[in-house]
Amino acid sequence: MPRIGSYVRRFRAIIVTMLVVATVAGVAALLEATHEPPLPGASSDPHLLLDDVAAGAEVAALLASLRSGLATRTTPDLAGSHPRRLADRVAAAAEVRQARSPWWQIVAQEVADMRSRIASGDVAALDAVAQLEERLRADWP
Amino acid sequence: VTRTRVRPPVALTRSLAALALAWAVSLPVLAAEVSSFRVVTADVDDAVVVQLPGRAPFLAEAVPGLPGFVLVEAGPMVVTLLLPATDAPDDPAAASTVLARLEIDLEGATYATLVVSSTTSSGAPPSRAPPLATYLLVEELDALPPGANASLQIALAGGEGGTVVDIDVRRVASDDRSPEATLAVTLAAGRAAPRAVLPAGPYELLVTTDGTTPSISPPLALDLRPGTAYTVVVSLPHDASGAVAAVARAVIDAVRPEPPQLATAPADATPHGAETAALHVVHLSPDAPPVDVLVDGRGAVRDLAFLSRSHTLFVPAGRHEVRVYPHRPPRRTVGEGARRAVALEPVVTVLNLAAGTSATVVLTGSYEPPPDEGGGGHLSLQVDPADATVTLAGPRGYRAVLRGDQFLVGLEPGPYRAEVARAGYVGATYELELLPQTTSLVSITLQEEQPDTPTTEVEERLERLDRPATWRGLELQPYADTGAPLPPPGHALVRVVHTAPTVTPLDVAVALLAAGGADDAEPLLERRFLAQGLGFPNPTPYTSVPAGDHALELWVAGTRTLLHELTRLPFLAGVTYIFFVSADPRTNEVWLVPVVEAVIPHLRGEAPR
Repeated sequence: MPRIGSYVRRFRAIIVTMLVVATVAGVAALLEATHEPPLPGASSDPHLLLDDVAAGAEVAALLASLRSGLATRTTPDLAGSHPRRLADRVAAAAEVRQARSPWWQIVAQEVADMRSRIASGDVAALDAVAQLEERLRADWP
Repeated sequence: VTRTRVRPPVALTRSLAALALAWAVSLPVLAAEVSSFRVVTADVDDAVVVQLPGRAPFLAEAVPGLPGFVLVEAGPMVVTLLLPATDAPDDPAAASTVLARLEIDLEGATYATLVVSSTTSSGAPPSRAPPLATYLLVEELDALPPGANASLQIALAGGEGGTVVDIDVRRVASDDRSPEATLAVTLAAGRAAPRAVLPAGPYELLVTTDGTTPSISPPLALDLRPGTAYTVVVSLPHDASGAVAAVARAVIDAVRPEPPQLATAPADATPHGAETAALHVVHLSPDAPPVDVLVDGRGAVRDLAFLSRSHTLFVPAGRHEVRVYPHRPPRRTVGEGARRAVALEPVVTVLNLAAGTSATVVLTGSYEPPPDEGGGGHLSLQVDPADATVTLAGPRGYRAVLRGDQFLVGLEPGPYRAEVARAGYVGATYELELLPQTTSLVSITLQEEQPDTPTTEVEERLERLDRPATWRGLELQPYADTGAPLPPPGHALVRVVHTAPTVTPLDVAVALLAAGGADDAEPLLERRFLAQGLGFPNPTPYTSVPAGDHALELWVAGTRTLLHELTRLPFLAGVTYIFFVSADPRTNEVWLVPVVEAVIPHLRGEAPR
């Protein structure tokens, strides 16, 4: 009949094994959490990179349309369907690409701010549009 | 990719920007003498730095497969190729080891590619200055492949003089069938085959130098995307033993971009083959809800919002019906608070598309929704015999005496009583509850009086159905093209489409301003008219505009009244734009809605600011 000491040893071995497994799993999870996964839509794909260029050109033209449209109105109708939807298109272009590069992430954040200003009828929306245009001009994708 | 950018002083930045813009706007003067130039390395292991007269050195390809063009003056030019510095491989300015120095002569208004290949293979002993072979490939690159096709240009860059190779491009079938030989060319060194148009899809490329043995093993896999132009460069370097092995690689020349929703494009949007046409749908009705589009009865686009452009739909050449429905049909209260969708008649157009063409269908006009809640109901009365008299009584003392079939609209909802009579027939009475926003169909057939049937039988049928509301005022305007044209070097292409039925005819112009700006103080260099008297629903021709910041102007036709303008609008070299004219439904104020239709890659920073 086994002695109590053998049960203690077995129990201790089980505990040690569980600790080792938990430690390994924890380290693995930590590594996974701290490891920055590669951005999807790898920028080495020439099709995607050219898509970025086209999107940048279209966004620049959209912002010019938005700025010109708002600036020439004596009473800017910020909540009209045209400003809102033009801003939506800029936002859509940035949002679907923000995973590709930090540049698009920044643009997406600024577009969100611009869009919320337009939606709320904030007269500072025109400034937000102009700032976004300057960012595009300063650092073309 | 993490980009670290050092911000120079603002004043310096502005000065440099002004200089760049002045240079860009000087392009009209040089227009006939401008060429686009790039360098493609075929089999050179190291990156190659390109040094051109009067400009900073740059890497031939910052991204593999996407060498960007730069704008140069046509004529003789010395091109210096260098190896990047080993301690700063990403800094072109640090390059000092000269690989080759070439004198080339570029024609104006052409896209030129300098193909650089090595005469030794990657298996050869490393050398900091491998012997190179170069070949200048020149073309006009004036249009993208139409429909669901890609275009392919194959060039043989290196090899001994007199070397001839056979190149087969085979489409890889989706099933287990062997690849089909699609394109076969025989090329001598330093020659290119004419650009060929192929259905988009997976291909493999094989090169044979002795007529039997594939020299590339495994074959080069090509994934040709629709609306994309490629150049494949084949070179024949020697390996370490002196034997010749073929190397091939593909680069992108130009592309038709897809809108953001490409990732969710339905599966049936995939190309069908060579005999296809491309179709886009654009929603430009400001007050209409998001729409769904059916092509030949099949769902093609879902939830297309105002100012959006659909992904490219590829359809077989021929006749197609396009139907547009609201994405969410309006719902109306029916009866005791129940709500039900109101059926709307679709907006329909029929297109006849030839193979290789593309078309844009624009939903335009004003949305006229169904009547508001609480509106009247409709009553369709069918009587037999046709000349029977109908006496109709309803709420608020309504009473009408009618003869024959009737379709009554806008009646006050409530209880109605219809008495139908005809000499020689047994009269009938029918009571119904007329509901708002509902068409009640009542069909009453009287029975002839029979001496032996004192009890009159009346057949009555009651149907209630929604009378389809209409989108009166909405329409689909088709614009057909032979394909997306590409701009000449140093230029953008622009087209304006008048899609606002409430807006007056327009004179459309691009104002080319000094310094590329559109400030009032800047002198006008030229006002280039795209069209005069452009009325709905017509487009302007594609018009070439020098790259730079310009103003796009809409004038009331035949007057000096400027209706709308886009100031400081950046026209990028190598980009084809379409601008749709749209109007606010309440104020009729004009907006311009841009779409980028095609892009030729240019070197980063090459686009004029």
